[in-house]
Amino acid sequence: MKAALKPDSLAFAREFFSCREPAVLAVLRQSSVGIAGAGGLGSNVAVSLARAGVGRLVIADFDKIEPSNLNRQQYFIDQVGRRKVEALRENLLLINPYSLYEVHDARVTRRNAAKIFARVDVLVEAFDQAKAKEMLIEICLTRFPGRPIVAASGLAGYGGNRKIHTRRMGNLYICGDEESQCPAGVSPMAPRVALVAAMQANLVVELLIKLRGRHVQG
Amino acid sequence: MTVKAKFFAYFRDLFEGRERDVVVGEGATVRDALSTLCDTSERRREVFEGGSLKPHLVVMVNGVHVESLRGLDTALSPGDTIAVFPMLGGG
Repeated sequence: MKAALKPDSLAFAREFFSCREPAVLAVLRQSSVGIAGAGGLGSNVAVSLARAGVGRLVIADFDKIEPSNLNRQQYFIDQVGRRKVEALRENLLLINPYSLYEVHDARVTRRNAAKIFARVDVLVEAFDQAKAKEMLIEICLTRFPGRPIVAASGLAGYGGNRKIHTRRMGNLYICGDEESQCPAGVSPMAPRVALVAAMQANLVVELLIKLRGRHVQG
Repeated sequence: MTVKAKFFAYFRDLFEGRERDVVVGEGATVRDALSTLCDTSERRREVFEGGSLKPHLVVMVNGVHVESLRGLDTALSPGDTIAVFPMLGGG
């Protein structure tokens, strides 16, 4: 019976958003989250937040999909060669067509970061390069001092679940083990990068509830 | 006056501890405190690059990003806490 519902029907949408805490869902639907980078961290964070029902995601990345990305990023073989943000938007719409996905096919820089992410409640740092991570943290905390930024640092290798944690310094939150680094030419592995991305997404939901829905029971 | 420096990630090995008290003169800046801490060539190399901070370092004073203040020229007060966090690549 339910399988016969069509995604563009109101009945399907009602079913899609069922089995959720109404007050939490209401907050998430009104929320907007920025994701800087659409690689291992960013694509996994985006999928998680789209499934959670966040109303608007602003995603920026300059890259295209390479075969080597498929070991950990939320793309598929027939998307290799395409722009990451376009493919990710397509995938997110297949997961949750009821949210808005604003994508920017651009390298995030000191000049454009504040503009791209001007209207988000929380920003997720999902870059690969350490320098870029610091740049975004600096821009966010200086231009938007009241806005939380959820970054990642230390997610290479495998195992070590107990080492992964979240550290808070003011409005900066950092998820990861703070120690592992990939050897040159070796990418992070799917389980660990997805684990840290899930921690970032989970923290984003928590922060959104705190920021926008103080009446909601945690 | 005395300020506190807190280290994270591999900087805990570099500075041989999680935190350290630093004695600096009145009116000292973040640059002065970090320069005092960087008493070996390896420490200087890991913290500074051409008179600026290395680009992957997040430095905060009392939980506020140092670039929200006056950067390395931010004046310190007794009891201030400087946190130094080197970001690691991967994503």
